[in-house]
Amino acid sequence: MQSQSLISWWQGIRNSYAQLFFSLSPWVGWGSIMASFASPWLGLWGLASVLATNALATLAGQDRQAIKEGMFGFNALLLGLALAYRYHPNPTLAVVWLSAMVLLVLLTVWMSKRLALSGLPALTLPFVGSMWVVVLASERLPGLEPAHHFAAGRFEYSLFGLGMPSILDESEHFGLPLFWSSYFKVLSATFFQPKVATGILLFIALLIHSRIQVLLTLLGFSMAFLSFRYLGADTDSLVYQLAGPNFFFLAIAVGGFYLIPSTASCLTVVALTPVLALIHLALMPVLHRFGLAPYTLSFNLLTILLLFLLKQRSVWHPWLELTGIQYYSPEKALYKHQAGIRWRRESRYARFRLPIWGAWKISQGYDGQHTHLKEWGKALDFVVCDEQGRHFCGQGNQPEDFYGYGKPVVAPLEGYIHRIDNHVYDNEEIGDVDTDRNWGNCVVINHNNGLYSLLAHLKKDSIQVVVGQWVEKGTLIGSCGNSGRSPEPHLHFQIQTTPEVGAKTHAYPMAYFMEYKDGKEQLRCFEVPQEDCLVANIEPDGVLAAALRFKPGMRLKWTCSDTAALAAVVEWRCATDAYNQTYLECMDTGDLMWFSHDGVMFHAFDYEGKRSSLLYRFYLAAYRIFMAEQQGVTIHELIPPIDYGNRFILAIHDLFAPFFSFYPINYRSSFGSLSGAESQDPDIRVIESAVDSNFLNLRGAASNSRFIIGPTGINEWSMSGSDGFVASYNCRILG
Amino acid sequence: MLPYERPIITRYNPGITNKFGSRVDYFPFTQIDGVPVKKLIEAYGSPCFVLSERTIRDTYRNALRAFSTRYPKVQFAWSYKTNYLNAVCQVFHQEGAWAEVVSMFEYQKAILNGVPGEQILFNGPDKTADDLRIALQNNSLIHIDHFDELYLLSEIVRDSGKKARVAIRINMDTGVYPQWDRFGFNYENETAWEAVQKIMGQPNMILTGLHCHIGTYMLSTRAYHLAATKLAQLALRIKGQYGHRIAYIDIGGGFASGNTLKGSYLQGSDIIPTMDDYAEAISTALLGSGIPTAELPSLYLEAGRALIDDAGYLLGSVVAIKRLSDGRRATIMDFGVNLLFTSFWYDHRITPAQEFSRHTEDMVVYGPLCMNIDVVRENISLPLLNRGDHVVVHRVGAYNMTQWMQFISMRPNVVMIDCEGGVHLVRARETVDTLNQQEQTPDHLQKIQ
Repeated sequence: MQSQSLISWWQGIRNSYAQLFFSLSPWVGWGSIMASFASPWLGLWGLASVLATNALATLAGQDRQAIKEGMFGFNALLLGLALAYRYHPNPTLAVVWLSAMVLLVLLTVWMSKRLALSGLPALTLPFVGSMWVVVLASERLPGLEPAHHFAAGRFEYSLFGLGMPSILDESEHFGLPLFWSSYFKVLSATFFQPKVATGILLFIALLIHSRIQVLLTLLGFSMAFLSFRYLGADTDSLVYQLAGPNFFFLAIAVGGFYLIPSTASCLTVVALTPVLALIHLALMPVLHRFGLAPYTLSFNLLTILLLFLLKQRSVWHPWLELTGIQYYSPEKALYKHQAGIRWRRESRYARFRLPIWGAWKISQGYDGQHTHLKEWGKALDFVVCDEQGRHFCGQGNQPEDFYGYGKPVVAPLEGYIHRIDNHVYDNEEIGDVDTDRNWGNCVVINHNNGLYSLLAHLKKDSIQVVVGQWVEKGTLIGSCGNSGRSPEPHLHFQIQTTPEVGAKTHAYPMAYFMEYKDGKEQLRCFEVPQEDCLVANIEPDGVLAAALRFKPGMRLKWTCSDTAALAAVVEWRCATDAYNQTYLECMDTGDLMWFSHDGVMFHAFDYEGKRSSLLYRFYLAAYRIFMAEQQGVTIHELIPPIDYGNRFILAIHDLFAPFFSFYPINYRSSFGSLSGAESQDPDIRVIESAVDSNFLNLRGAASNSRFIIGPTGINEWSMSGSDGFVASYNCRILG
Repeated sequence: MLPYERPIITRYNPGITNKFGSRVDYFPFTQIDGVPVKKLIEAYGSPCFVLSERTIRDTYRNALRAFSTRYPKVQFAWSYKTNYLNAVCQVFHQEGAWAEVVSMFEYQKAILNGVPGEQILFNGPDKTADDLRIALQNNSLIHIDHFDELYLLSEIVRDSGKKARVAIRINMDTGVYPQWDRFGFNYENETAWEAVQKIMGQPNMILTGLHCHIGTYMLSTRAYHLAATKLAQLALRIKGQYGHRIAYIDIGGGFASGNTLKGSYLQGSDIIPTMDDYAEAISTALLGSGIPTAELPSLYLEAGRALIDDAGYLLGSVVAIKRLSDGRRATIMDFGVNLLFTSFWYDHRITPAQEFSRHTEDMVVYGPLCMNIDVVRENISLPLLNRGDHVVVHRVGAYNMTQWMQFISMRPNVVMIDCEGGVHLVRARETVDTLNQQEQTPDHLQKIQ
C-alpha cells in the first residue's frame, strides 16, 4: 500500500510536468523536469510548487485520479516558476508563494468544475489568476523584491550564474538557423529559461511521445514567427513571460488534443495563430498599466472560445471533430477515431430490416421523382420483378398479374401495432390512383424508440395483426396490395417520428441487407436501399450468433493444446461497463476488448492492452464477423494502425496521418470450410480471418486465424502469423 | 424463296371452324438461344439433346422468387433423378439448390459434384445398410420411407454412436386420385404419428423434418395446400407433445411443366398452375397454420420437372416419309422412344427447324426403332417434311436424359448452350466401345471358329 501511494505521488508529480504539453507520457514528464532544472533554482521552486499543490489538493479531498494525472500540478508548476522568475527569493516570497498555492487550488477547483458544466477546460486560467493576484498585491508588499533583471527592466537574469540571453544572441545557436534556434528557445521558455539545449531536450521528449504534437508545435511556431515578422512585432518578445509558449499550447490544444488531428485542425491552427498574436499584443499594453503580463491568457481565451463555438454547432459536422475519449495522445485519438467512425455511426441506429421476404426491387427510393416528394421524400417503394425486370406476367392489366400482389409484408422492427386502416378496396384497374385515400390500407407500428413505421397500400382484408398487438421483427403483418394512391401493386414503407398516417418521413438506414446490382451480390450495412436495386434481407445464423454471444458474468477458459507461445491457460471474463458497453477482460493481464453483437454482426471495436496477450490476438481475429446464412460474404475492414502496425513505420506514418494514410492494416473475415468427417456437421461453422499490413504496396506482417464454431461455442481457434507464430486453443465456458 | 415442297391433296373441309385452328406452330424454330439448329446438328450430329443454361437459371430464379417472396426460409433441392447430368446439376447447385437423391449412385454423383453431405436429402424406399452408414457419416438428411428402414437405421446409429438427422416421408389424402400411398407413412391412419413416436424415443435420431411427395404432374394447387396444412399440423402436434421444433417441412415436387399430357383436351401450358400458384397455396397453408412466425420451419422443395423440362430440346431429322395402309401419312424420325421416354406420357410439341409453307398434313411420327411401340406422336399436324429436314422437340429436359434406353441405337450427344451463347458438349455420344467396355467375353468365346 505504502509503495503504491508513493508511486501515485510520483506519478502526480511527473504528470504535472507532462500535462503542460497535454501529455501523460513519462518521456515528456522527465524531459520537462530536466528542462525546468536547467536553472536548478527555478527547477526547485517549480517542483516545490507541484508538491505543495498536490498535497493541498489531497488534503482538500479532491479527486485522487485528477491529482495523479497532474490536473492541479501543471498550473502550480507554472505559478512556481513564474514567481521564482519574477521575485527575488526571500522569506516574504515564501509566505506569498504558499498563499498563492492555496489560491491556486481554490481557483483550479472552481474554474475547472464551472467550465466543465459547459464541457470546457480550465486550461492555465488558475495560474494566470493566481499570478495576477500576487503581482497586484506586490505593490503593497515592500518585502517582495523584483528579481534583478526585472529591476533593470531587461532580461539579464543571472541568478546562480545563469544568463538570460536574447533570442538573437548568436552565441547560443549551436550553428542552427535562426528559425530552429528560436524554436528551441521558445520551447524551453515554457520553463522561463529559454535555452537551445533544453529546447532540444524537450523536442526529443515530445518527439518520442507524439510525432503529431511535434508537427503541431512546428506549425504553431512557424505561424507565430511569420505573424510577428509580418505584423512587424518584435520576435524577440516571444521568449518573455510565456508569450511564445502560448502558440505552442494553442497548436497542440486545437491541432490535436481537443480536436481530432486532421487537415482541418491544422488549418485552424494556421488561421488562429495571427488571431492569438493579435489578442496577445492587445492584452500586453492594457495589462502593463497594472504591471501585469498576459502570460497564457491569450491562449486560454482563444482555445475556450473556439471549443465553445465547436460545441455550439447545431448540425453534425464531419470537420473539426472533438475528441471523444481523451487518450492524451493525438496519434491514438486519431487512429481510434478513424476506426471508430463506423461503430459509432452504427451503434446509433435501431436494427431495421426490410419489411419483406425474398428479393424485391426498390421501384422508388428516397426523394423519388413520382411520389416521394418534399417532406414525404424519405420513403421506399417495393415491387417484385423478374429476370427481365418486369413487375408482372401476362397482360399486366389487373393486380393479380403483378408478382408483388398478395406477397407477405412483415414488421421491419419490433413494436406495438399503433393503427390499422383496412377499408379501402384495391384498385382493380392498373394505373388508377385513389388520391382521396392516399395511403390505402395501412399499418402503423410504434417501435417505442421515437420511431414509427408505416406500411401502406396493403391488400384489403389481408392484415393479420390487431391494434395494440406486440409484434416481433419479421412478424407477418399483411399482404402487398394495390389500395390508395397506387397505380400498380407495390409496398410503400416509410419511417416517421410521429404516429399519424401520412406524417413527414424520416430518413433512416436499414441495418443489414443484400443488394444485387449488375449481377453482383453485396452486403450493405446501415445504408438506405437505392432506387432500382434488388434487395433482400439477410437471415441470421443462429449457431454463430449463439456461439459469439458472450454474456456478462460469463468466463471463458482457453487452453493451448500444443506449443504455448502465449500462456498455456488463459481465462477471460465478460462484463459490462458504466456506459453499457460489453467487454472481455483477461483475468491475468487486465487487457480489455470491447465488442458489440447485434445478432448479425460481431464487432470487436476497441482494445486496450498489450500486444503480447491472447486477447489481443482475439481482437485481431474477431474484429468483425458476419453471422448470417449468406456464407459468400467477405467482410473487409481496416484495423487502426496503432493496434497492429510496425512501430517504426508507424512513427513515420504518424507525421502524415492527420492528412492521409499510406499504411493500411487490412482485415477480412469470411466463412471457411472443413475437410474430413467434421465438415459434414450442419451445426459446425468455420470462420477464417486474416490481418495484414500493407506499406507502400509491400506486404508486411500477417496474422491468420481460424475459428471452428459449434452450438456450444468456439470449439477451436487456431492461428498463425508471418512471424512464425502458430498456436491452437480450445475454449471452455465456465459459468 | 422457299425450297421445293412436295404436292399434297387436302380435303376441303366446310365444317364449323374450331377455336384452336389446325396447327399451333406458325414459325419454324431455327435457333436455340441464338445458336442455329442447323449448326448444332452439323457439329454434334442428329439426334442431339440441347440444354439451355439461360432457361435453367431463369426458371430456377423464377421459382425461387415465387417461394422466397412468400415465405421467409426456402431451400430448393435439385431432384437428381429428373436429370443428373453433372453440368445440369452444377447449374442448380450454383444457383443455390441442394441435392435430392433416391439411390446411392445419385448420392455419389452429388458428392462428386461437390455438394456438402449435409445438403443432400436422401429419399427413396431402397436404402441399404451401407447407404445409410455413408449418409449418417456425411450427416445427410435421411428421409425414412418405412418402418423396416427406421429399424435398420436405429441399429446403425446405435453402433456408430453418431446422431442421425432424419425426416419421415408421409403420405396422405389430399383429394387427388390415385392417392400415392405406397411411399412413406400414412397420415390419416396415424402410422405417421407412430413413426414420429418411435423416432422421438430414439436418443440418436433427431427428427429434423417432415417430408411428403403427393404426386407427379399435379394440376391442383389445392392438394399442396392440404398437404402443407397437414404437415404443419403434425409439426405443431410434435411441438405440443415433445416440445421439439421441426426444422423443415419438405413438400417434395410434382409441379407440372408446360408439356401436354396425353388425352388432355387443352394444351399443357394453358392449364398448368404457375409456380406462383403452387407457392401461394403452400405458403399460405404454412403461414396460416398457427405456427408463430419466428418458429416457422424452413420450406424445402424438390421440384424437378418444372425446373428443367423447358430447358431441354431434342434435335432430330426426318429419316423417311411413307404412307400407311389406311392412307395416313407417317414420318420416321431418327429419334424414338429410346431417347424420348416421355413420349409415353406427353404429346410433345414438335417444330420444324426450317422455313415451310402454310400447308400441313396430319401424320404419325415414328421413331427409328424396329419396334412397334416406337411412336413419338400418334397424331400430329405438321408442315410438309422431306427426308433430311430437321425438327426440334420441345420440353424434353426432364426424365429423358435419365430414362433413355440403350436399345437398337446408342445415346446421342448432349450439349449445353451457356448464357453467353457458347456451346459445350456435356455428354458425348455413346459408341460401340461404350457398350463393349463393360462386357467380358469368356476365352472360349473370343473367336468365331
